[in-house]
Amino acid sequence: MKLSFKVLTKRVLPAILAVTLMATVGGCSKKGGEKGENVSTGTMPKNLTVWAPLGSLAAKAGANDRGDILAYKIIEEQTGCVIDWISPSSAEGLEKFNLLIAGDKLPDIICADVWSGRDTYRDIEEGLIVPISDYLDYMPNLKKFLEENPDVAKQFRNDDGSIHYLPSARGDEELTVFVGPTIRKDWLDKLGLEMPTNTDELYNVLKAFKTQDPNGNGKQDEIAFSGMGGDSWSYGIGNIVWAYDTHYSFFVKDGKITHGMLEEEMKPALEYLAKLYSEGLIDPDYLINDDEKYKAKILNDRSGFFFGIQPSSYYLTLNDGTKELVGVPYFDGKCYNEQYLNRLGGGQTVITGDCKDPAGAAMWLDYFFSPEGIIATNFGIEGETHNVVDGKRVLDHDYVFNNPDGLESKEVCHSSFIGASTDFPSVQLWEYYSQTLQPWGKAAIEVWSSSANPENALPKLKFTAEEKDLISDELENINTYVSTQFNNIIMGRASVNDLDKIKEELDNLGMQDVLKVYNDSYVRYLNK
Amino acid sequence: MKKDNVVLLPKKHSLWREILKHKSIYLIFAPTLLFYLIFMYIPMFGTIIAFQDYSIRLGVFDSKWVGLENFLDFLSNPKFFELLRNTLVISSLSLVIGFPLPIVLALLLNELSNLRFKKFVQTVTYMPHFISTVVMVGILTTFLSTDGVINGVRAALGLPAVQFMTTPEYFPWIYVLSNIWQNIGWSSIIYISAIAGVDQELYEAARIDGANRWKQMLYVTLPGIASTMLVLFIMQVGNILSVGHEKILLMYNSATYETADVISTYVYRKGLLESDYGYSAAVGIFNSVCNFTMLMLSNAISKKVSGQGLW
Repeated sequence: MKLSFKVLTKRVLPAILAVTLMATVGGCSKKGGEKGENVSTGTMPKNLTVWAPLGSLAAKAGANDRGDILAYKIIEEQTGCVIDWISPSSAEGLEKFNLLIAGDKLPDIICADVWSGRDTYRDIEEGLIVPISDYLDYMPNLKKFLEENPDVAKQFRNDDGSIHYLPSARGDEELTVFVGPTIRKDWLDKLGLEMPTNTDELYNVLKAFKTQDPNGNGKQDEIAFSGMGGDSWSYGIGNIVWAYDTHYSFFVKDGKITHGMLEEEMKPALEYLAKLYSEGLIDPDYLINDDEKYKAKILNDRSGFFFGIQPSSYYLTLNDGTKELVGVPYFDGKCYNEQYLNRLGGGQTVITGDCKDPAGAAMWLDYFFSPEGIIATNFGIEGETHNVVDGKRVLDHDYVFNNPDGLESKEVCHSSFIGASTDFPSVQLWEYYSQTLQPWGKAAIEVWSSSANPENALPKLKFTAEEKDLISDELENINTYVSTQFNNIIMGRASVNDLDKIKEELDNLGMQDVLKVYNDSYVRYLNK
Repeated sequence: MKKDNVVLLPKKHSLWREILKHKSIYLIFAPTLLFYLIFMYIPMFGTIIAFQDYSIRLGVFDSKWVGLENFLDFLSNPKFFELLRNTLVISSLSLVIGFPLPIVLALLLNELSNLRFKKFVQTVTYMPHFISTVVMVGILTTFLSTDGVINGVRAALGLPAVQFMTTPEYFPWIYVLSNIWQNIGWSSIIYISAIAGVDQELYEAARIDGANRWKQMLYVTLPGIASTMLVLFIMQVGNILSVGHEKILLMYNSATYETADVISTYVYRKGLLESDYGYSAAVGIFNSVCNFTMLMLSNAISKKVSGQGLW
């Protein structure tokens, strides 16, 4: 690093200040604290500036900035650190973020879901951020959390072990499961059918849905299998291919990363889907369904089987006693949904290069991972927003569902608990989250989570800037090509026999380069 | 002796004099001039980031220079020709079909004698212009879905359903025709006013010579608005690579990528993934250079052929 004025003010000076501060505080009682080796505990700062967009639900509930949210109020009281919040609306978050970093003075802490897409090594070089891992010694609670949850720690860390930003964490496995196959149980009962446990049984169920008029209106308007998109992990109809041990994107097979379109299992999988489509069992508009149309088909008693999200308004509306939506267990546990492995939420937060007291900032961030912090962010205030019943924390029913200020339960949760919005470094607990679900929602998540075995789904891989540069164009082209061909085969415009030509074309588009990069990264991931 | 009242000014003061003489007109013009200077010309210097590996944090002066790398990245992408082709297909279709139709509408409106009906038609045709793109595409998708209105009509006629929105061959047509439906009224306004500016005496003269309404349109109206048509045509040609991304993003899906993916949608996707501003700027420059070339070419051709051009 050459000693320009910029480096002087942005790097050297703050470092000197921090060391001087530490020496003054630590020098009194600590022993062995060599200069530069942060073994002293530092102090909680009195004041910090934090830039963090405000979610729309919290804004709807009346919050003007994050400071109006209950969890942060409690933490401010408990830590004594007063926060200057800068909270643009989340809709213009990205724009405002770009303006922020182009400006001169940065706040101490920035919370924005952009860091995972950026080259944070470059950001450190340019003085935008400082790595969290440099201050881990000031964060005993986070350290403990990472030690006790090595799977989650793996996702926090870069391949070289450093941590550049802190996201929120999903403390329990069930929290990663919020989408899965759903079926109209009342239709199954009406037609005397059992819950399908494999693709053959599913075929029979779908055929029955289509032809035997389970919604009872005399018209054949049922859509046996509905969805939004084909190769989409959320509502895509393509998720059925998982039952054939394959996936429409990258996944792990025999210890290596490969792409579904290159593997032989894709042939029977696509044959099955094409058969369903040609017999009218799949929604012919599945590619153009948007959120509204997709929901409408469910609410209008037309969709029988689909991949749905939980919690959702249509589960609420439909489970009214006469109708019933339940989660379907994964066939043989086969599931390649990458999201099931993703233990990170939103709220990616960094300490900026302009922060005068990064150790103090780290201490403040660490508080969110402390036992008190976890209670505050998930349950609020004991005796007010939750009570301890038989040793368990139970949300106060009236506070959430019959709120005195007339707010909806979603609004209450998002303006009180970070466990609801998961938009700041903290630990979300299933103990909290499950209480905000309706009973059938909780049941569906438990069905999916207990039946799924996502061990071969693509793990969260990290790539170096060079790797990203190398493959980003090719990846974009590959993804659009795969998407087109996948759906063309399902819709009957291309044949399953074209898979060989597709493999060739993928090689032309650079698939081998991409696989090499993915596998290199996978090896690093396994060794983390 | 008569006093000489003529004052001879040196030539270099004549512009200033001109401005002072008509100062109120120039005053009205001043904000517009300022607007173009501040928001169009000065930002042009920003295109310099196309030659950089631009970082928002470092800004223009500290970002690394990479020369033509961004341009080469874009031009060597295997998808480049597909994107270019799709952009040109949609643009040319818009030009060939979309250009004459507002003129036809204006001519037809001109033939109406019932003033109330004329005004009614005018209002109805230009109202769709104000529908937002999102609502427009929502309407399109609902009408064209497998169980939508159009397929309902087809079913009533005994015809099989057509998957309009997922068939790549149909995409440019749906895009262009829905654009025309939305904008035909608005675009015809300028022609209506041009037609109103044609000298009535010419019509008199033509009637005296025995021309019927059709011949009058052909030999009086059309030549009368020819210069307006030319100006608008050249301008539309000068926008040939600028197919906007908003409507296409809402309309396309994986089944129609091969005809729907244009330069701007590709850059939008890439830009969103990587916030690569230098790359987007480079593609923008490429677009502008091509557009400008087409503009110059069509202007030159028009001058050669008809003696008239934009400048």
